[in-house]
Order: sequence, then structure tokens, then C-alpha cells
Amino acid sequence: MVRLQWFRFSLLIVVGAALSLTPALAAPAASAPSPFTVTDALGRKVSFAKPPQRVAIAGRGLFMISDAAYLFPEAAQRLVALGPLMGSGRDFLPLVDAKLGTKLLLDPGAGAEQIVPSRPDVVILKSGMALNLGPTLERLKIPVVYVDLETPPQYERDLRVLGQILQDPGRAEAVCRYYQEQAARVQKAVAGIPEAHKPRVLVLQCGSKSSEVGFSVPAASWIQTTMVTLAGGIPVWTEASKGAGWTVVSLEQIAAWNPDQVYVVRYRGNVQGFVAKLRANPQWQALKAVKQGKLFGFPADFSSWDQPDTRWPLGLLWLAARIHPERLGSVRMADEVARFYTELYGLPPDVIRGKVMPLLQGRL
Amino acid sequence: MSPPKRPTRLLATLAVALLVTLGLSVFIGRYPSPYWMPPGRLQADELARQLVWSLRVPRLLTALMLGMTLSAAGMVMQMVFRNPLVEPGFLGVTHGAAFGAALCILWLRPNPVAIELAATVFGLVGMLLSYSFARRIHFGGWVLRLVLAGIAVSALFSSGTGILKYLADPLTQLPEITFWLLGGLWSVTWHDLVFVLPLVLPALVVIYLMRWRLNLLSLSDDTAFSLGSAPGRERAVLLGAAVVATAALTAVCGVIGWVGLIVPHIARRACGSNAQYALPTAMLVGGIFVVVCDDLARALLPGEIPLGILTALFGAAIFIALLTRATLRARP
Amino acid sequence: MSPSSVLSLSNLDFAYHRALQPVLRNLSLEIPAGAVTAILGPNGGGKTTLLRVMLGVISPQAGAVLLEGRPLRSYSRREVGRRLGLVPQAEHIPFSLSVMEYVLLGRSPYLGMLEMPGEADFRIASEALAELDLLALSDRPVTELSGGEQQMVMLARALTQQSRILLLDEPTSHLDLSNKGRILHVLRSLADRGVTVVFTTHDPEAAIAVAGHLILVREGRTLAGGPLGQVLTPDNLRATYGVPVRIEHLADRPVVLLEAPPR
Repeated sequence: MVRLQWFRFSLLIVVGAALSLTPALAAPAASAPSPFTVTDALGRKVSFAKPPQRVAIAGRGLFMISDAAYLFPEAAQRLVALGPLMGSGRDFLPLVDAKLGTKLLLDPGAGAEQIVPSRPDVVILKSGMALNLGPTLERLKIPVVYVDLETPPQYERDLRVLGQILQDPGRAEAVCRYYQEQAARVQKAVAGIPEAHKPRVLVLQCGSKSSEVGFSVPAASWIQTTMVTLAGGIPVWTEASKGAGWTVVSLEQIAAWNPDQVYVVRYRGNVQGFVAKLRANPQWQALKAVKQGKLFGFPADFSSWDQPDTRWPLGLLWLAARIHPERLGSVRMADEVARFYTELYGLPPDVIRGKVMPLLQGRL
Repeated sequence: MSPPKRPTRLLATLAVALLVTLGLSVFIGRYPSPYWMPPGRLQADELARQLVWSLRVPRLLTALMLGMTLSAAGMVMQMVFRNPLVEPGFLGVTHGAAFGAALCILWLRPNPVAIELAATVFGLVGMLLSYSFARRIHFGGWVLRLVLAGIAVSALFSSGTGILKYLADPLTQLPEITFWLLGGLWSVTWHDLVFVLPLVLPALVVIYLMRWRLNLLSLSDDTAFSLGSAPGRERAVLLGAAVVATAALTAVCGVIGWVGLIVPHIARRACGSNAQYALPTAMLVGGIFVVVCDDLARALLPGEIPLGILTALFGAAIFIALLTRATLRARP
Repeated sequence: MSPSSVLSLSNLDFAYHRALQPVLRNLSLEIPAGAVTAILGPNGGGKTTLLRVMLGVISPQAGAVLLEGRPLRSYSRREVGRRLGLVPQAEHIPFSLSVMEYVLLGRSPYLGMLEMPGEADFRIASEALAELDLLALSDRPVTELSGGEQQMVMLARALTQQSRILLLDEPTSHLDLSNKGRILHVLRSLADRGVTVVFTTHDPEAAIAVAGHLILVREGRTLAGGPLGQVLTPDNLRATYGVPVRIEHLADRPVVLLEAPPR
């Protein structure tokens, strides 16, 4: 009797040890050379045994990644989970993905537990998630690829990465060509302008109190600063925004800078109405930009064009046409918008006319 | 035998210092160049006049009121609760106001009036909650009960604000909430001042006129009763005034700490614990302190520094200096 | 209620909370005007609660308190403050005032909610301090005084109140002999001036030294009350304190001695 129990006990230990050793044995097999390796934004090499069929997008800043993913027609089939969808995503994505309803929509702050049931082969995250969500997913054996999508060079790099993952590198090249072409167009148009002739430009975000005296300026490293520089303007606010986020400035400082042109961004609410209020404000009327009629609201359709979203070339074009109208007067934004949505998202003209054009805010 | 000496010289000096500070602060800012604007510019430049009148003056007045109110409210709370470590906001007022503002930023249309109203209302709600919880506690004296209830309610609201911060859109809403939590006068206009004045001025007047009775209320209830006072009623009036004024100003300026804690201490060190003189001293010192901090907040860097950071920085430094100075006669 | 009693308590029942034991049970007593009355009893017998009921700080669940013939409730707080003064046993003073500022607080029953003491009030406070020989301490912070000096200062504050009735809670319990003597001497002279003095104590000797009337209280009940000579008997004291005592007379003054326990 005792000997039988002892036998069972030792069998249990052996089986247990074998089970616990199996992953260790399996691991070397996984690191054998595979057909697919992607270098992501953090320089990591992520390998795939076979091309991923099920793709998930999660974490903060989702709209940048999802808008970039849907530049590829495969996204509609390959994406199985994405979220959280903020307002702009909820309006725009149904237009490019008829099957959005069948996908798993993640809640804000969704953790690995919510993503895993969709059984993704890869999860795409912004590089800021490398501290928490990413490692958790990797521990569950789900490959993670990080993207940045914050600056024009990063766009090209990350679009190619997306092209690899969605197995359409040709499409990635086509989209990159579009971005390069638009950027080159602007650069060529403003080439050779001496510094002294470049207008001093200020980009402001209005606060949620809709105050007419307190605004914030973007960080010096952000795409808004890059866009102004590319468009042939001088960003005046960089001395204030040494930090990593939006920096609050008062009207006094704005008056001290007294820029030649002011662009106001408003992420929630109507920007044109707000700009009209500013124009009527006597303090603003004393500023050079308002006197010269150079106070503008930044245009937006589903989202504002100033952000590092796929629409930034539209923002850049529009900005450049405003900063140097003498050089880019031929630009017709309505045509550019139509071209953008046709070429990049494949939207039919009636959808563009019916769904996109009515959203356009800002004088184009 | 002469009456107890009035620190008239001290009060007069402080009043003059306050006026001088206000006068100089009108010329401090970022326009037309950093830090100082030559007074002559006011005459020449229309925009300068407009900026000074529409931006600097209401901002200075608000800073002045903020300093006076937080100091007066702090002194009232410290004497009513017989505890020198109490701040005006601790009865759930500040955290309630913060919660109300965050709620508004998150879910209502961007509307300055709504944010102020929400913050005031929730500040008062915080105080009422603390009070009603305290009545249900059955152990300890009423001071202990209120302190415990205040801590609990503050913690509740503060975690609620944490949840709201988590839910906030990091792009548009979270920076706003965070900046509000750190406190700042960067968007104060005459409109805000008009909202705040009818709530704050009467409260300050009431507290100022009742300042001698604060001495009485800081003693035990039995003593106060025996000296012919109805301590419950008088406390309610003083606390109510302090809380209403604090909530209204928090709604406009965000969460500003340390002033209500430190300035009463400084005032007591300067002129004794008799609230008859310590209160006006505290109000003057508080006014100067906040006006100077706000000058730095708006003029030091091109970007605004949140006022709450500066008051905490200087407040804590002064606190440490006060605590570590070796004085033979340590007056609390 | 006898015509000469200024404060009268009848059939008082009081408990701090429904769930707790009552502190005062069917207690009745009368305080005669213009005399010194001592309320004597063991610690925890409800003496402090008694004073609080007399002041009107707490209301009894049953029974009546009459002040100068009228129910206590019918007076406003300020009126009570002008008639009844309290010298508590000890006071926690969180923010230190000077002695003069502290004594001036005694004038509050005469000041409106928004008023502050003036010249006249200051004079009255100075007189009270002078009477107790405390003028030299006027500018010292109250928290820096010794226990005895603080007790005297609290008495000065009560004097500034110019109340007709003075209640003292264990005025001599923490004092050394010299301070004890001073306070008892002051109490006697106050009574000579017509002030009604009532003090609680657990020490029979303090009662004997100055009191003309004695009330014995034990466990929230009055055991006996009346002129000192009549009430101060060994039987009464044994009933009050639960230990056998002897009363000897030394030069016309009774002296209470504990019976020595059997060796």
C-alpha cells in the first residue's frame, strides 16, 4: 500500500517537472530563424513564424495608429480588435470599414485580459505603451510591435512596418510616395525664402474654459512646430514650450511675441465661432496678426489637421498656403481633400461629398 | 496700566508693503518684454493699457483676495478646530471643488461659468458631507469627529478626481484638469472677479468683525458657554463664511495650498496669538505672499507656472525655516 | 424652592447617552445666595456634570433648573453669562494669549457678537488682576504659567465677568498649599462681597476651610445638604465616601480623619 502511494507521488513529481520544463524546451524552437522579421519604432526585432492574420491595435493615441492602418485595404479584414475609439474614430472608421461592428471594440484603458480573447497574432501599440501594456502582452506570448507616427520621418518608417505586417509593402510605398510628394511640394514652394521674410507664426490651443486670455502652445518637439517650419514660417513659441506637453501662456506673452500670424486649434467644439469671438475682442484687435487679417482657426474634418494623424499633409498644405499665399496660391484645398480620401482611403466620391465635406471647419 | 499693546506699527508697515507690492506688480509681466514694463509705456501704448486693465488688474485683485481669504479662512479653521495644522480646504472643500471642476471639464460643454459653479457647489457639498458624517460619529470630541470626517470626505473626492483624470482624454482634457489641480490665475478676467466678489467680500467682512470671538471659540465649549457665547452658532457662522469664500475662490483659481496653513503661523509669530491682531496681520501677509507668487508665476518664464507650485515651494521653505529657528519663547 | 436660594435643581436625571449609565439620578439641591457652598463627593460622582447642568451647557433628560427663580432655559446665553461664571478645573489653551488678553475674554457676555473690548472692559480686567495680585503677569503668555498661576488667572477671568454666581470645578485639587490658601482666601472675600460661590471638591478640608453650606453627592444623588455644621457628620461622610471617618475638633474647626485600618 505504502509503496503504491509512494509510486504515485513520485510519478506526480516527475510529470510536474516535465510540464514545467516544456516551455523551456519549447523556447529554443521558437527562436529558430523564421520567415518574417520586423524592426519596430524602438529598434526591436519582432519575428513572426508566419504572416499575422489577426491584428489588434490598442492603448493610448489609438486614432493615429488606426487611421494609419486603414490606409491599407487589408486592414478591414485583418483587424480583429481595436480601441478605445474616441469621437473622431467613431465617426470616421465606419466609413472605411463596413465590418467595424464585428470587431472587438476595446474600452479605454483595456488591459491584456480584454485583448487576449480576440486571439491576435500581433498587437500594435504606440511606443509609450512599452512600459506597461506591451510587456504584459509579450509575457502572454503575443508579439507586440511599437510605432511612433509623430513626425514625418517616423511616418515613412512606421508605414513601411505596417506594410510588412499587413503584407502589402507595395501599398506602403505608394502611401509614402504621397506623403513625400506633398512635403516636397511645400518645401519646393518655400525654398529660398530668406529668414527675414519668413512670417513669425504662433499656434495656440484654446483651453476648455474657452477663455480669451489663456491658451497653450504645443511642445517644441511636436509636429505642429515641424509643420510651421516646413511651411516656411518661424515658430515663435518654442522658447516657452521646453517641456514635453502643452504649455500655458497668457495673452500678455502672446502680445509680447506679437506674431505675424496666429493659428488657433480647438479639439472640442467649433473653432470658427471661437476665432470670430477673438476677432471681436479689443485686445486681440490690437495684435498685429488680427490687424493684418492673419488670425485663423485650424481646419478639421473628423479630427483637427494639426495633429500627428494621417491628415497632417492636409494641415501642412493648408498652413503653407496661408503662410505663403504668394507661393502656394494655386492650392485648392477642396480638391486636395477629395484626393486624400480617394487615394488614401478609397472612399467613393458621393461619400466624400456627403460625409466628409460637410464636416470641414475652417476657411479653406 | 496701559492696554495690551496694539501692533499698529506692524499693521501699518504691512499695509504699506501691500500697496507698494500691488503698485509694482502692475508693471510686472511679459509685455512688452520679460519682467518689467517701464511705466511710461502705459501712456504711449494702447495695447499696454488694455492688457494692464483687462489682464493684470483683475488678476492682481484676485490674487490679493485669494491671499487674504486663504489666510483668514486658515486662521479661522485653526482656531475653531484648535489645531495649528489645519488648512482651509481640509473639510473636503478643496477636493470637492477639484472634483466638481474635473467633472465639468470632462462632461459638459467647455463653459467657464459652468466650471466655476460646479466647483463652488461641490466644494460646499464636500463641507456638508463632512459635517453630516461627523454628526454620525459617536466617539471623540466634536473636533476629532470633524477632522476624521474631513479626511474621509477629502479622500473620497480625491479618488473620484483620480478616476476622472484616468478617464480624461490625455490630449484635450487631462492637461486642463492637471493644470487646474495645480492652481493658476492665468485665465482670470473681470468676469471671474465679479462672480467671486459677492461671495468673498461679505465673508471676509464677517470674519474680520468677529475676530475677537475667535479667541473665545478656541477654548473649550464649556468655557465658551460660561462666557455667554453660543459656540455652536458662532462657529457655524465663522466656518460657513470661511468655507463659502474658499470654495468660490477655488472655483476660479484652482487648488492652491499651503497659504492657509503657513500664513497664520507667520502672523502669530509676528504679533501673538490674539486673533484681534493676528487676523488682520495674516490677511495682509497672505495678500502680499500670493501677489508676489503670482508675479513670479506669470513673469518668470514665457510659459505660465502653476501658482499652486510656487505657493507650495515657498510655503514649505518658510515652514521649515519657522520650525527650525531656535526661539527661546516658542509661541504656537 | 426657598426664597434665599439663587440656584435650584430639582429631580434631575441625566445620562450622556441613552446607552450609558445615568450620571445624575433624581438629584435635587439648592444653592443659597451670598454664601459659599461646597459640593463634596468622591471622584466620578457626577460633580462636573452637575456644574455643566447648572451652566446650561447640557440639558437634563428630566427635572428642572431654576436660576433666580426662573427656568434656566428662559435666559439667553448672554444673560446666563452675566449671572453665572465658571472657573474650570483645567483648560487646554491651544493658542497662547497673554494673561491680559485671556482675562479680557471674561467680558464677552457684555459684548455683542461683532464688538471688541474697550477701555472700560480693560479697566475691569485690570482691577480683577490687581485684586488677585497678578498684574505683574499681564504680558506673559498664559501657557507659560505654572498650574497655580493659571488657576488664579482663570479666577481673574471669572471675576472680570462680574457674575453674581461663581462656579468652580475642583479649584484646589492640583494646587500646593500656598496657592490653595490664596484661592480659598479669595473665595471667602468674594462671598463677603455678596457673590454666591459654589465649588465642587473631593477634599473635605477645602470645604471646611471656607464653605458655609455643604452638599454631599454620591453616584449622581444628593445624600445631604445644608449648613456645614449640620451636614458634616461621620455617618454622612461614611455614606458618601464608603470609608469610616472620624471628625475631631481643633480650635473650633472640624477636622476629618480617616479611621486607621485595623493593624
